[in-house]
Amino acid sequence: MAEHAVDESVRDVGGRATRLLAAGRGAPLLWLHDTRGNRWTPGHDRLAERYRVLAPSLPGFDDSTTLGRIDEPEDVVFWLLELLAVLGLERPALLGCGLGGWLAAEFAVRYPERLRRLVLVDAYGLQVEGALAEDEFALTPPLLRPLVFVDPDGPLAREWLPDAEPPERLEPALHARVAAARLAWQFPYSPKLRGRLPRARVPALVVWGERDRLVSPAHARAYVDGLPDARLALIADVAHYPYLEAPEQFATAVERFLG
Amino acid sequence: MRFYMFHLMPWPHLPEGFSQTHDTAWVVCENTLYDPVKGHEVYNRYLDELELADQLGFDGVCVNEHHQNAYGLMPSPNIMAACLARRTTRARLVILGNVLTLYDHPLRVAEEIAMLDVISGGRVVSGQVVGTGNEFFSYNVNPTYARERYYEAHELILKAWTEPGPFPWEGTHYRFRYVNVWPRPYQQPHPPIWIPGSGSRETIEWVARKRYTYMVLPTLAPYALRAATAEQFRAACEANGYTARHEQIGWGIGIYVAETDAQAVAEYEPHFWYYAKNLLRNRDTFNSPPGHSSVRSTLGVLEARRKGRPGNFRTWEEIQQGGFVVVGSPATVRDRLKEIALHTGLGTLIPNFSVGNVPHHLTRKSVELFAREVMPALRDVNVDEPPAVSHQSPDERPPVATQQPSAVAER
Repeated sequence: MAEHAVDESVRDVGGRATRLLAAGRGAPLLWLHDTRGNRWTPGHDRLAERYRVLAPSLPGFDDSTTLGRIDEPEDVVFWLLELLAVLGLERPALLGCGLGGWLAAEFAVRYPERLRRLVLVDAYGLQVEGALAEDEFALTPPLLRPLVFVDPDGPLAREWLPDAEPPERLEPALHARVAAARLAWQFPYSPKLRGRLPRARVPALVVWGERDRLVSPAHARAYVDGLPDARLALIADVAHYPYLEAPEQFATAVERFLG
Repeated sequence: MRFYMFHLMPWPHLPEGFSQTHDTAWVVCENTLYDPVKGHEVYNRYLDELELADQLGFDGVCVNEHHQNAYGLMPSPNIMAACLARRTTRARLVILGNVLTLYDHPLRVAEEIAMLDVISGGRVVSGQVVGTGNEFFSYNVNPTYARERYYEAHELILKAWTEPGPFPWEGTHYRFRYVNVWPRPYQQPHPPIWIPGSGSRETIEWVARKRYTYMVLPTLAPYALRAATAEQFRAACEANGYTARHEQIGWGIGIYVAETDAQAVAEYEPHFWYYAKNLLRNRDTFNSPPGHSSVRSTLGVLEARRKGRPGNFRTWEEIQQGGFVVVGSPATVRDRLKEIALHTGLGTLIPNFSVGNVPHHLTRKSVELFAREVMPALRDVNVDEPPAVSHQSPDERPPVATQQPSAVAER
């Protein structure tokens, strides 16, 4: 599906072998993936028309036996500091989806000066009263698809969240599930993050699928209310994956914000 | 061969059509289906059945731990063992086992097992398990730490039982400034340890190295799968430089005895299906949370397990031919168990008589027939050392409490 040539490489990030997908030219845009792992999506492709999109695999996602002492989001924040050094990135835009959005927010409240822009997409991370995210680890694909895709029986949903992974995808999918559960098991948030959001003094865009039933738009509003300089892009007729279900609208919103 | 009656303590009152309306008997199966008044009767009836086993000369009775489900009603096996400790006199009390991973205080397990061992005069067997995937959902324990927590808790408990306290423990998952467990276990250096396992190579090798007893699970699995697992365990013992003793090979299996083969099947089958269709009903996600098994072993086991799940079978012939359970007249059950024993070397038989919603009078009859007409003929099969409990008739047997503490531990 990639319209751009996607470079794949493995970098040593603080002793962790880190797979990096990269394409496009322009200002650097660091993309942190969601719980299902590091896959190039139509959203990546669309943004690579204008930016240098850099998509690293989060620790343990490609091989969960290397999770080591990744125990909480802060451990990933330290890994991100190393990653910026390895990639020689000065104040990149940081975009995070779902779990990656939570980690991006954790980074931003600690090191806002290291970022040019922050983009959060249907992000985990906040404790919002009455709006606990659904338990993705408890739900089989047929139960989960209607929460994260507006058309749960369509080809897009079936490709990205099949009832059973095809043989070549099975092992990577299992590793990603383990790495995701390490951080996002049952309560995918840090109780203290919401109180720390005012520290993230960097322009932020909160992108959300209006029909996300995994992490409801109540979380989007909580991010926008808590961040000191944030605007909201709520995308209609999209659920948890705007970059899969509406890549054009998604990319347009991001481009408008990043310039 | 020795005989340890196992009880699952299932909830027998699920509504008609449960398997059509529910995708699981675990985790999110609503607890309004539990009726405490009926529950009072159920608990006491099940405990009666285990006490009966003690009176009939079984070597032990077994309880286990599951949480928030209709499949097995013992969230605290230690409470059940405590009930039994004072109402039995001879049988070993086999806790099969405590789910070590669920506790932030493994010392609580060390304490309670030591209490039971002292109260019962050294009759306790300490089973220690990682727990089913479901328990990690019900207790909010991150399953990606399952194995690490299990091994560390196990080492901590063993050290608490065997080394003089107080001492500090500075582990990855547990830290205690003062480890100093009172009481110390009655059996020295510690109670025997049994480890149930469902075939993971990692567990088999660990149990063989430690010289513990390996209980082949799952309780409901085809004969060929369990025979192969037992063989793997024996090979692992050989690789560790010794030959497995018979009693090190435990075998949990559904057994039902009635007057004739036909009567046994007629009486057992409807209750078996209640168990297979309702109580085993579960989501794959609950069974296999991420990290509960390594990715490597998940890849191997996942598909085989799915295909072999008894809920997916429709006819009794499939169950019978697969050798999932042993059901028949005393002669049939006796011959079949002898054949299995001689073929696999097992010396620790852990029969589960009370399947699904089988009524009390049938369980009672089955247990009595088994004790009277099956057990005696198998007593001398696969015995590898003088047993801890004598084989005189129940009335003549002294209680274990007056005997020397047994040395059946894994030394």
